[in-house]
Order: sequence, then C-alpha cells, then structure tokens
Amino acid sequence: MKELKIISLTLIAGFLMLSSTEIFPQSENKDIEWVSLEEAVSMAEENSKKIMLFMEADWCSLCKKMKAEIFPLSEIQQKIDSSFYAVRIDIESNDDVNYKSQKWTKKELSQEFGLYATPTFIFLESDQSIIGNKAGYMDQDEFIKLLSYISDEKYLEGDFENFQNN
Amino acid sequence: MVKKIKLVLMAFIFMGITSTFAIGQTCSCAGAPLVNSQSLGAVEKGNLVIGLTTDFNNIDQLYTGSKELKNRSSKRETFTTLVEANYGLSSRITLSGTFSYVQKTRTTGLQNSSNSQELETTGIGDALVMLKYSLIKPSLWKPYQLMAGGGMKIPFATNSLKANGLALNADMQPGTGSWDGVGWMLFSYTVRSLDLNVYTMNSYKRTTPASRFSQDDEYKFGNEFNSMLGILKPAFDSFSYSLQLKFRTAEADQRNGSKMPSTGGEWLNIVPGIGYSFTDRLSMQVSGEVPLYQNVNGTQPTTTYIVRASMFFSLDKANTGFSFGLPNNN
Repeated sequence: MKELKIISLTLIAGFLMLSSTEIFPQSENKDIEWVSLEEAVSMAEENSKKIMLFMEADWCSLCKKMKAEIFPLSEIQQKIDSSFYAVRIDIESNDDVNYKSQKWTKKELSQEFGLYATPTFIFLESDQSIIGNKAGYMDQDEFIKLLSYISDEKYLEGDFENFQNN
Repeated sequence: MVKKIKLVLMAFIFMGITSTFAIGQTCSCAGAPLVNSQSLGAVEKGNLVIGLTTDFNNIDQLYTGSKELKNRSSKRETFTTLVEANYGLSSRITLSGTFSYVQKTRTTGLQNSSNSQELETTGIGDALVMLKYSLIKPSLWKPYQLMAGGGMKIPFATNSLKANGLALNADMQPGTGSWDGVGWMLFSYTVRSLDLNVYTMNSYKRTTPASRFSQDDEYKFGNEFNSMLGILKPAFDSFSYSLQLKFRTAEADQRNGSKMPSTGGEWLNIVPGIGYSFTDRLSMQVSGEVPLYQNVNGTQPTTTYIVRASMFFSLDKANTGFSFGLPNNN
C-alpha cells in the first residue's frame, strides 16, 4: 500500500509540475500597430489598405505563440504596417464594436462570423466586405505568403494553395 | 512491486523529457480489449480517422482477493493489434468499427523452470461496431462535450481452439463467441485557464452465452463495467501528456448456467501517457498501465502491466487552409 502511495504521489506531483510549465512567454507585442475596428474602417476608407482581424482568446496558446514568435519579426511588422490595419478581437469580450453600422459585442461578432478555431485571421476590404479567412498557427513563411496573397490581391487570380506553391 | 515502480518512473522520466498524451486499457480476461480501446470521440461529417494500436498485456501476477500470492505456476502474455475506424456520418453521428488480431502465450510450470511449457494461440479477434451520438457538441464558447453510443461486439473469432486435441480454456481463445451489447458515453470539459482537458469515458458490456466445441458446452463471460477518468494537456507545441484512472468491474463467468470460480473481480489502474502530432493528420500515443488496486474473485492470474502504442491517421481535409468568405461559409 505504501508503494502504491509513492507511485500515485509521484505521478500526481509530476503532472502538476508539468502543468505549471509555461509553454510560451506571454510577451505582448508592442510593435504591430493594433487599432480598433472603427479606427481601421475609418482609415481604410481613406487609402487602399486592407483590414486584418486577429481573432484570439485569452486561453488560446497558439494565439500567444503567434504573438510571441511571429508578430515581433520585423519582416512581418513591415508587411502589416505597409499594407494592413491590424485589429485584435477577443472572441469572449463583451466590449462593443461597430461592424457595418451595427453594434455588436466582440463575442457576438465572433459568433456571427461562425468562428470554430483560434487564432483565426479574417481579411476585409476597405469597405468591410469579407475577403476570406484562415484558421490556425502559421510560421513566418506561411504568414508572409498569406499577407502578400491578400495585399497583392492575388486572391482574384486563384486560391492560396496554388499561390503558395508558385 | 519494484518492477512496477521502475516502469512508472521510466514512463514518468520520458514524460519529463518530452512532455505530453494518450488513452488506453485492456481486459485481463479473454478476447481482445475492444471496449476499452475506444480512443476516439466525435469525428466531423465526412471525415475518417483510423487508429492502429498495439497492446501488450503482461499477466504474470497471481492474486487471491486483493492479496498477491508468490506461488504462481503460470503466466500469460496477450499481444493485440487493433484497427479502429471512426467515420462522421453526420454532424452529430459517428460510426465506429474496431477490429482485432490476437496472439496469446501461456507459460506453465514456472515453479520448476526445467519443466516450463509454452503454448501460443493466434487468430483474428472479435470486432466491435458502435454508433456514437454527440448530445452536446463543443464550440469556442462551450468547452465541453457529451457523447453517448451503443453497439455490438461481433464474434468473428473462434472460441473453440484446441491444442494437441485438448480443448483450451476460454482465456486462451482469440474470441468469446458471443454477441455482446455495449453502451458507451464520453464527457469532456476543457479548463481553459489551465489548457487542460478533463474527461470521463464509461462503458457497460452485457454479454450473452456462446456455445463452444460442442453445442452442449455453453460459456458466458461476465458482464462488465468500465469507467475512466482522465486529464490531458497539450505541451510544447506538438506534444501532449495525459494521466488516467481506469476502473473495471466484471461479474463472474458462467459455464452451462453455473458460476465459474475464480473469474470476475475489480481492477483500478493508472495510465500515464504521452502523445505527439507529426502533422494535422498524423499523430501517435504511447501509454503504460499499472494496477493500483485489484480485488479478484477467488484466485486468478492478473495484469502486471500493459504497454500500448497507437498511430492515428486522419483522412479528412484539414480545415486549416485559406478560404473565401467567413468561417461559417466553409
């Protein structure tokens, strides 16, 4: 019985120890210039930039990984700053947001969009019409290609998979 | 007992090095561990997930009640290969089929090593077909799911193997010969603040009698209830690790309507495991299982440890590419 206790305690202690391990550093990226959706819409109307919505959640480890590992990269920041207005949407937030002249909470808007995974990137034209979306973590190469695919309007010529392969 | 501790520590050290998940279990009686190997829950409509599992069950302890005896004269090893296929018939209904191949080895005369004898049986094992229904589907705003299902164990395997003209015991047969009904349920909840999934999977198998050798010899394995409580946590990108408690209780077997002595009992096992995802469509799980407590009817050989490894192939179109419009248009 004593041996069983030792086995059980060892396993439980180990599991708790591993559970407490922080997977990704929670550094907040300060370099991408995040704006509100209202600001993004207002500014996008004045120039040709697209809008990129980063749909995230507090508990989303892959969102944290994107913020910690991909967003701080200078190539990514330059691409976003030059071609997009970037907006963070917390899918569980009850804060209000205006979209197409209608008031939503961010949570309601996320549900209206039919989100099924986080992170999800949703790209909008300057008039707020939807271009498309992509769910999941992306490494630097894939993310840069996606940003170029949208900013260069290659989506008018074909799908993203073909664009990636060319 | 020292062997047990070594095994657990080895599994634990491996977890510490790599960190991750798994699900598994087997029975220490007869046939293939079909019910307890149900490792998959819901599968999206039109998707197919195939699991390939190898399961090694080392049965070399002898117990009377909850007390270990040191005078064992035999041991048994069961090596089972399982193929589990889950197909999403609709957004809520998953069809599951599990097929098995069984190899059993029994060594007798262990008290005198010069006289020990080995007997091996192999063959296609029984199969389990189930329908699972998602009563509650999880979403980003509802981090829990509830599934219930039911099915039949189909007696593909023989239960009348002989060796040297002698009828073999039921526990050395590849199958049980019976059509058994199975009820199954799964509930899981994700604790988002800890990125931890807590789940319980429970099943009940109601057995029927099966004739063997001749129509006059009828054998019925005991009904059994299995309950699992586990936690699963992703770690370090593609890894996950899990810890599971498994409880199994089985009624005594019956032969020609009479209870068989030294069959049935209660077992409580602990199962640490790790998992690794190679891609969105290919993943593996490895787990070890050791008994924490067992209380058998009469005197029985019982499991010392189980080692299990699984590969899962997802033949769905991974929904991670770029798509036009909103996610709800996909």
